[in-house]
Amino acid sequence: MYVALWRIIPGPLWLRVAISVAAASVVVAALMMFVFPWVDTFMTPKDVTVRQ
Amino acid sequence: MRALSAGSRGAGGGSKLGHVSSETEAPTTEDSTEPSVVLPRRRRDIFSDKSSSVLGIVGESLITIGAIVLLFLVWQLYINNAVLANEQASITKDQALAWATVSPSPVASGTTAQTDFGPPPIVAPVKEGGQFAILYIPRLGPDSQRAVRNGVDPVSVLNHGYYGRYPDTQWPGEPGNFAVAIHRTGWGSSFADAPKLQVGDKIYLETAHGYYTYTFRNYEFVLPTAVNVVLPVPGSEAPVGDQMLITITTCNPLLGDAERLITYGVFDSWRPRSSGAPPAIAAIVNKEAN
Repeated sequence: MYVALWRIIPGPLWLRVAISVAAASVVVAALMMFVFPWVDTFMTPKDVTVRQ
Repeated sequence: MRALSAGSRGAGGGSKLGHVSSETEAPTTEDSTEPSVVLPRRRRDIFSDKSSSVLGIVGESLITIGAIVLLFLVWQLYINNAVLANEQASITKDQALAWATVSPSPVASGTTAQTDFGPPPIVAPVKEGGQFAILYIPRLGPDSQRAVRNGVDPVSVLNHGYYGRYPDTQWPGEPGNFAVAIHRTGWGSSFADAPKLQVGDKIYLETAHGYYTYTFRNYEFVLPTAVNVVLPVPGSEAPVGDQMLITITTCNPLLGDAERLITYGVFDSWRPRSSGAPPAIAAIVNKEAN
């Protein structure tokens, strides 16, 4: 999977590394900004209240 | 390794001596070419290109999912926590600024010598989810103030770092028990250090009218079902009298929720906004309202 992605990325080694790092950063940022907050709404939050 | 396997193979066909020697010779001649030719061929025999790439994709996907789960934990424990704490800082600042605009405090706030301003006004009830106060606990640090909203809904109130007021408890200024809940850690909470409170530490509640000062009295560790801690007289059906308490419930242990840590404070005094903030929090309040 990642080998195939690596083959698709054009350019010399340094450019490939740069593109990979940039793409990974975009994915991580998207996860943190949009996906995780959305997933968090489905998680059972830790309960801090007292109730029967 | 290789010599050993060749030897055992030889021992297996031990009856024909001549054959054994030819067999043991064969691997040694093969040895020189084996690393580049034989091993790759063997691998291809077991996993065809197709199945190995499928297995590779499955394996890489599993690793990726594992990494994402770890990343989610990092987000929940640190990043989201920091983001929400920052959000709370601007929420309390906006709130303090809004109140200060309506009724500005004197510049030299906190210098008024008078300490007794009579009985406190009762905070006007707000609708569920409404914001009506800021809670300051100087012992927990200069950035520990959080806004207080009505209701203990996890999604809309508690998971944003607010203190949430138990709807069936009393309002500040009303005899009885003003009970709130807050996350212990995460979600922008600043309450992780709650056990550092010392008897006599002050808890300040700022509202539109002024400042309510409570004195920390004690802790209690209870089960999550101990709803009697939010009764007007905690743990008792006794008549209310004129005692005013603040009760803060949070989870215990840290990062768990098997128990509840209950923090009690007793009402000490009230101060109208026009007399300025109590000296202990004047610096924080003035910083926020300017």
